[in-house]
Amino acid sequence: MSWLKTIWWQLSGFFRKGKIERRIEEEFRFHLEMRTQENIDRGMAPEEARTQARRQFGNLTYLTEVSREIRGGAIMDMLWQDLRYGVRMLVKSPGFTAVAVLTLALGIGANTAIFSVTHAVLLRALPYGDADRLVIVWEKNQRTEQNVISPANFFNWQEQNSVFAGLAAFFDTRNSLSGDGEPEEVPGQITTDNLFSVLGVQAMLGRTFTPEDGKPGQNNVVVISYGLWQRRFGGDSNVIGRKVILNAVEHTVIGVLPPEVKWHVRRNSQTGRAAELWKPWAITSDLRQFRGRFICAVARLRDGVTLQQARAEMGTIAGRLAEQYKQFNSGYGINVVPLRQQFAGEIRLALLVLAGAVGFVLLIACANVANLLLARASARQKEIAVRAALGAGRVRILRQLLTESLLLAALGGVAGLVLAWWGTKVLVSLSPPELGDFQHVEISAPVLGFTFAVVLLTGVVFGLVPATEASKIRLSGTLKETGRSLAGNTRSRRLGSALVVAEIALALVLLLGAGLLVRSFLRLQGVDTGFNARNVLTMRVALPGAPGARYNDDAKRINFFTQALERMQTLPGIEAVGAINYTPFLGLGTTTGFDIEGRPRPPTVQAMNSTGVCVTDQNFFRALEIPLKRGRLFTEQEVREKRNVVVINEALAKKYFPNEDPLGRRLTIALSPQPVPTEIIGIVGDAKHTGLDQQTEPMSYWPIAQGPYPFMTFVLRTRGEPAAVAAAVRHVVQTLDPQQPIGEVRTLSSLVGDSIARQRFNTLLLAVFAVVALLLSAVGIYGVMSYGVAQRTHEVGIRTALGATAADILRLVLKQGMKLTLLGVAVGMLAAVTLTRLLKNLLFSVGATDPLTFVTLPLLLASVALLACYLPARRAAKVDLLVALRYE
Amino acid sequence: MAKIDLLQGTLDMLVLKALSRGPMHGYEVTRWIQQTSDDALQVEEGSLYPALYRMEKRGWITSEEGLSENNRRARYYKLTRAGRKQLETESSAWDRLTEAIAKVMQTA
Repeated sequence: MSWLKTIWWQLSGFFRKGKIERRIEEEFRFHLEMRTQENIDRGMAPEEARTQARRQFGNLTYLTEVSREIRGGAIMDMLWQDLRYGVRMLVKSPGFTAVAVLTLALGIGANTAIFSVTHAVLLRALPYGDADRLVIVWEKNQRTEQNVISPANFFNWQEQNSVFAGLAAFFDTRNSLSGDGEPEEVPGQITTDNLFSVLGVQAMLGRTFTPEDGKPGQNNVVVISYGLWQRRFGGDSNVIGRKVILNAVEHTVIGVLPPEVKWHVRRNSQTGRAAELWKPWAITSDLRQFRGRFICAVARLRDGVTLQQARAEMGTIAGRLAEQYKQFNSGYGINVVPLRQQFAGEIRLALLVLAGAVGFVLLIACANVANLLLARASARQKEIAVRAALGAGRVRILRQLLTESLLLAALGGVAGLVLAWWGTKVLVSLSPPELGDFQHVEISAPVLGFTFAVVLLTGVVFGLVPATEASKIRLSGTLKETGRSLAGNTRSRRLGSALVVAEIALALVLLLGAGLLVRSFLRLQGVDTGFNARNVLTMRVALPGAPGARYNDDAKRINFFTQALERMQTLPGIEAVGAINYTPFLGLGTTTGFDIEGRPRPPTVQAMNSTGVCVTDQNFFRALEIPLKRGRLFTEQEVREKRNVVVINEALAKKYFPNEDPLGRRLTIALSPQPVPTEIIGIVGDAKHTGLDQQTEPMSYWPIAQGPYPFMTFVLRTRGEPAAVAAAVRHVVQTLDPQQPIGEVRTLSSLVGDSIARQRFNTLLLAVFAVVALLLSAVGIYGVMSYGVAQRTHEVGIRTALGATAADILRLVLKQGMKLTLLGVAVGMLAAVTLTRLLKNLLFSVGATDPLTFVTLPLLLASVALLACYLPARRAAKVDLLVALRYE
Repeated sequence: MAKIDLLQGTLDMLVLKALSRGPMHGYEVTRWIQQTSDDALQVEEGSLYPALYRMEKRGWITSEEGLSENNRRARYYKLTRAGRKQLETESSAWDRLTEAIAKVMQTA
């Protein structure tokens, strides 16, 4: 604790400075007077007595200084002095200060902004009790690590596991909420009654579910989100017990969740949006049938159980269930994923890459400022030597210079925070949908703490080397120097060159990384979707289809959709209207196994034929401009009445009918309750349905009558701006059924755009940082070359006098600059070959060492560096001979 | 008699010794050291004060205002328990040192 005491002495000494000084002064005076008096008593003359007393006392100034240092306050005093001196120095050279602060602000600001996102996604506590013990439990198979699970398996897991303290199931639903006010489509979840106790979430008002709520017939109760409570119920504190009409059935509101809870697992989500209301799942015995996979599960690890133990036991259970229910479960395992990992998902890697990138930018900024300081230090050599001559020790000078660099860093930090505050807003507005799952991204206290640490670190990092260099002074030499001598500066120039090489290498790594992402993004954007997304409006409508609701039978649904389609067709400005069950590019789809008539069924589930399944009307293909390759499309009658026809895509035809004509063949899918052999009547072109980076999979399109989903998405090809017809299209649905809410209305091109939002986010940011890095390192090399040229003006003069032409001088300077650049490029290439491998999972159809990128970008960097060298080189070549020779 | 320069630690010990006789102000300490050593030990008088401050910081002595013999305000220093202990350690170390050096020096 002695250092604490020292700090206390220093601080209290600093603030009681006057008192301490007075005390020392009084004691000294008392001593001197006593001694003088005694000398007089011994017979000296008063004048002599006083002189004698002084002589015997020693160096008064020195003793006062030493005493004060012991009595405390001196260090703080010196710091204060250093600080004031530092401020004066910075104010005196505003150009230098502005460049340094701006450079640092870029580095620190970028780091702060990225850290605020990283903090929200990877570090900040999730709003669930002891969230690190929560895991998501998936089924997995050959195709995917995260597959939705079957209720029957879920109940078996619940009964057989000993690793979870609780295991809850949930699945997304779209709900029409009416009663008071406009009908509204609200994303929700149906959950087992234990969901909230597993999550460790308490209701803010009312209660969450009890086991009673899960009994069939008693489950007409809902818990609502804070957002829905505010929006629809105006934050009414009497909302508990209110009756609402949910999917045409009366429900009672029993609880409101706290605002921070946004329970939503994006993967396999049927709505793509955070749930706003929850309803208990009535567990009936037929759910135990092994049929269909559609639910998700979350579990809390039992105390003392590790993730590995949980994975091991669930693996054993999966093996047992696969053995017991071969037909349904073979090929399926269980995958246990920690909640945070599930949430961060693929954005985690991107964030780490970006964090690395901004780290590089900060390093480059530091190198630049260090270079500036080095150059300035040699300009300040005389000043420093004078201070040393006046008695400042090396430590004192070092401290002074470090105070200055910390001051610069602090200024840069403040400017950086302003930049980050703005940058964070931009980041959030660009952010991919995954970010929405996390709490507000903001500059919070931990982020500020991070910035403070970065400021301290950068202040020391960029300040230490120049300060050590500058404080190594040989007094006599420097004071005598006229500035013409170069000997003292060779070392710092060499250091400056090393910094430039490092900068160029770092910038090149960033450029290469960004280049790869840009190439990959362009490839992704250039992917042929197989349809024309221009001028298409999509509108999703989910009918309440539960038992007892308005659309509880197939005929009613078919009727609604076909009528709506007919009416939309007649609207002005519409070229074609179609409908499909899954909105394209929301990432949703169903895949199922099928049999081909006349062929034996493959022995294992893995070897089963599989196809995507979509339900459409006859005009869907025309509306999206998916070409019919062979055969025909559905007739109107086939869409309304069950006629057992199907249209397939070319991928299916190629994969399963490579050497025969699929038209007229019949296939049976395992999806419907009573599978019927269905005739292939047409083949259409391949079109992407879930995402641009997805492989083109076999796909089958079924007319609405053969799978009347309660939800459909209308796709409308318009003659002009798609948004212009939105109101008219809504009106059609509202006149058909005033109770019916409308889901999202979006243009198809914005859906396609959103599906690559994450890639756009990564690419754009990395590109911006790479450009910043490129500019900073160009400034860096420019600075070093300019400084070098200025230092060598005299030498240039001599060379010119000896007959060197301007071209010779130009060549001389450029050669030196290019040497540094090429060295930096070489180091950067080597580093990049290793580092870009980390990007592999972010790249789409571009190799991590894509040759084109690895050739063009180093060339680009070298040309920018060449330009940055050319300007100072030209200046050197133009120097007037007489000026140069006189130059000091 | 020739005058001897004092080593830092030795000065501390002498000051502690002086104060072990009772509270004194700085000038009295100087005078006491000079008189008891018959002026053989010459302290640069001012250097006494940094020594006093240092020992005060270490907690060996404390100080308070008082009135001097000629009725002037002066700062009096007093040994603390820690200071007394320090004096004991230092004087026994000193004894051992001088004894050892004497032995060495006596061998002709």
